[in-house]
Amino acid sequence: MKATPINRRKFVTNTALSAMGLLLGQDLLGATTAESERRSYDLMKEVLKYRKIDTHAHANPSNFNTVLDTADRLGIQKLVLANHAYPPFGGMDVYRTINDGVIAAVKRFPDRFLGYFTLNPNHPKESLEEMKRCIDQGLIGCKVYTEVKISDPLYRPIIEQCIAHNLIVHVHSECDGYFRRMWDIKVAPNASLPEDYVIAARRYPEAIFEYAHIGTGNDFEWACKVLTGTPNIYVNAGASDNEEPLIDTVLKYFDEDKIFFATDGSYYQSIGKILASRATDAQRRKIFSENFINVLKKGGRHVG
Amino acid sequence: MLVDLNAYVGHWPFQQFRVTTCAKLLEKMNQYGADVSVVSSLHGLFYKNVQSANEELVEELSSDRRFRDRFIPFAVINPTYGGWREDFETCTTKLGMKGLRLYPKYHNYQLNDPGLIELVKRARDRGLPVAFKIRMVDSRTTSWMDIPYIFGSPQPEWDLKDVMPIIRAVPDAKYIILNVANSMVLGAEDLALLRKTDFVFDTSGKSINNLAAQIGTYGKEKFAWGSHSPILDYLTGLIRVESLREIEADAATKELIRSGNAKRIIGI
Repeated sequence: MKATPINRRKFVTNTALSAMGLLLGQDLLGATTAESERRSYDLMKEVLKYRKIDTHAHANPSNFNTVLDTADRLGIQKLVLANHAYPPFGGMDVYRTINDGVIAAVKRFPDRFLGYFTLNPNHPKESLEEMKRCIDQGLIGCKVYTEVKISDPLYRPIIEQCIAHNLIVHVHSECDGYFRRMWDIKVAPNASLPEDYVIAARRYPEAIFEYAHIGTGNDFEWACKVLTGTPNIYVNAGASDNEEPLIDTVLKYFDEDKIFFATDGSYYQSIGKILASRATDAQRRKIFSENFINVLKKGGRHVG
Repeated sequence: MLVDLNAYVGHWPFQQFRVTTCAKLLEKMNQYGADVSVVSSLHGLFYKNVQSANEELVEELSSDRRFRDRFIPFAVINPTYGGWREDFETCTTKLGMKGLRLYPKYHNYQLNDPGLIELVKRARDRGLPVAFKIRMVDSRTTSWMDIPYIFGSPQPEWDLKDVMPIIRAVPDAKYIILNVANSMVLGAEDLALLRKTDFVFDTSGKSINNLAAQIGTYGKEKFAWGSHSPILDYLTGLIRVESLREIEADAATKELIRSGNAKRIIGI
């Protein structure tokens, strides 16, 4: 947005406070002062200034063009597909089909898409076999929805294989907050809560966990207070909720190297809340892409 | 010119937000190049007697000459509370309020309430717009003390269709529909009615996720930038506008959304 010239005197004559008959004649000095204080701000220049990797994306062949068009519009260079089964149950054939789609997408758009595979830990043996297949196909992390909690023993063999292959463990999250506790609305009874993440992260300090969409479907202040101090938990700050203090609160509780940019399909909110935060330019660069690149680099993967 | 059609001054009782005063909001406006904000009292919607909040807002706006040409106050009126007609008169004739923000869910009345219909007709007769919020905050993450309109419950948050009863009742009034979250699906009859109505959506809500297509559905006169500050981040609603390509919204259309439509609906 580029500010356009304003005839504030004319505008003010029609606005509210002038109707009070108290203020208009005195406003000109104030208007002059305010005019000098008002900065020019080129919003789209800021939006496009930062290289971005969306670590929590969803896409399929029916909307590749739409997703990539939106990404282009907002300067998102790469997107990590984190597709999962919904509803979150079923045999492994369901999961293999989803993973085939992600593998195909990465092969079709190698410069734009990276991919996580998804599993159902309720089928442990087949999950490990599927995991091996997906690693061989170049997928870089494991995304599970609410099949089991991240702290469930069924998850342990998967986490151990993620450690062995330097893969990110990314699990859908919620909070045991207001609407779950007060209204008994358990949208996802096996959803991983912040407390569950901490249990898993402390059991496996060498694993890398990505806490999904802090602040969306969960209370970000609650999540921050529970997750803080667990150095192997990274938070992705994506998704639909863009409460004004969210990013600054995350920065208060987390090392600035532990925050990922992500959208979960909510592109505008996920960029807006970072740009409107108090994060410094260097912190924004880290969040938008550098932190994720560094995590992959430690695992021997280089994102160009 | 840039007009924010959806801002507040005050506190939210369940969570800390930073931009709580006119001075802080003005600082934010200056930071991002906004010229004018339409404001009402945030905490005032929780007052039993909301008129006290309207008076507080005007007192704050009168306290610093820098505020005088940067803010347009809207009144919060509860048409089920004693003396609301006098409140409406005072706000619109003495306090310079240029529109109304109404909160049926927080003030516990339905959109076919006779008091509401009378209030909207009074606003119509004065040429004042009436604003409704689809939601204030996401019910999934709000406080246990907030209103029981809860995602996933038998009494969910509002969808766009839930605003339609008052538009059907008073179709010739002017409306502002703010923070459009949740479904925007309308039946054919309601969609036709809404298209004919003099109204705007602000761009703060998460359902404004394909503004180019939504302009195609409703028309370029039906959208105006809103931040929903201090609850939502200041920029998301504006990115939705500024990221439109020339083929989707030419310069004149963007200017309508930045300020022209807000000025039209407020009548200034």
